[in-house]
Amino acid sequence: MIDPQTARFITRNYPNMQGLVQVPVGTLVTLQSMGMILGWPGFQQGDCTLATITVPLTILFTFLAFRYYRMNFGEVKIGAMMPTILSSALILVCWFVISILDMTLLKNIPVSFTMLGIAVIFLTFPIFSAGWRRYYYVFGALLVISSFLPLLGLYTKLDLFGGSTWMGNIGVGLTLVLGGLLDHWTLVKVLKRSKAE
Amino acid sequence: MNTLSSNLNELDRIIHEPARLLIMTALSVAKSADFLFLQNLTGLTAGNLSGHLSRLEEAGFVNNVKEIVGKRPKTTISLTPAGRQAIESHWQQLETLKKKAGEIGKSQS
Repeated sequence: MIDPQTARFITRNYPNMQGLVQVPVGTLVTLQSMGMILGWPGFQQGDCTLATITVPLTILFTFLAFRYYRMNFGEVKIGAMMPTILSSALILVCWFVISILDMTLLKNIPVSFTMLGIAVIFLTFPIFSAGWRRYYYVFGALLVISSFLPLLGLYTKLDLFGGSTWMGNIGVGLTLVLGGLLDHWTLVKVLKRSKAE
Repeated sequence: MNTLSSNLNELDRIIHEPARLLIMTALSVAKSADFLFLQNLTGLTAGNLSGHLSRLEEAGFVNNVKEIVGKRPKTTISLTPAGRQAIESHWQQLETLKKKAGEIGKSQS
């Protein structure tokens, strides 16, 4: 049986630890960007043909992931949903404002504040998980580094989310995929340990 | 030493049993959890978990709501206000005990 501290963490963070839920979106973002760079047919900018298949598939797999957790690991309801929804909305609005400023007032500064905002969001995951999910420190740090890469003059900060590199999209997509898989692995590992003991 | 043993005696035996302490602790950070989640979390068999939940329900610490969702039975468990208070004070008692035991250990060394 696991210790009460771990039980408390797993219960409180159970909705966030359902990592497979974010894998379809991460895969979509990564593949879409790779397709743009490598010029895969149907992946060109403005071409929505493939999106009519990939977007519904992503929604379907996300739904199936939720169902998988509900059927195999059960359900937990964590307090009032309103504060969580409000704080998530506030974070998104802040990030959106930063992105707008990044493209307007801050456009001459060779640092991607849009990417920096995303990196900060990922870096908060372990902080709000009582030190668990530390792998997000690595992903967050890599995203912080990539936000400063335009300083080297290899590409502009606009190239991060478009242009010729789509590096930002690939970074965020891979973070969602790898982070999701690691979250899932952590959850399963703890629950399996509990069963074994 | 006497205070320590009297504090130990004050601990609620129903909650202090490891499986029930784990169930109550997990429920204390959630609004509710279903039977399957608690079974996965505790690693107990369905029969064992059911037994522990019955004890907690008899003591007035948890509510078990049974319903049928999509032709499948589903049991949702939540702490009652009395249960919430009991688990909070239980952890406080354990903290006090830990502190006192530490003080005794220091004075003896």
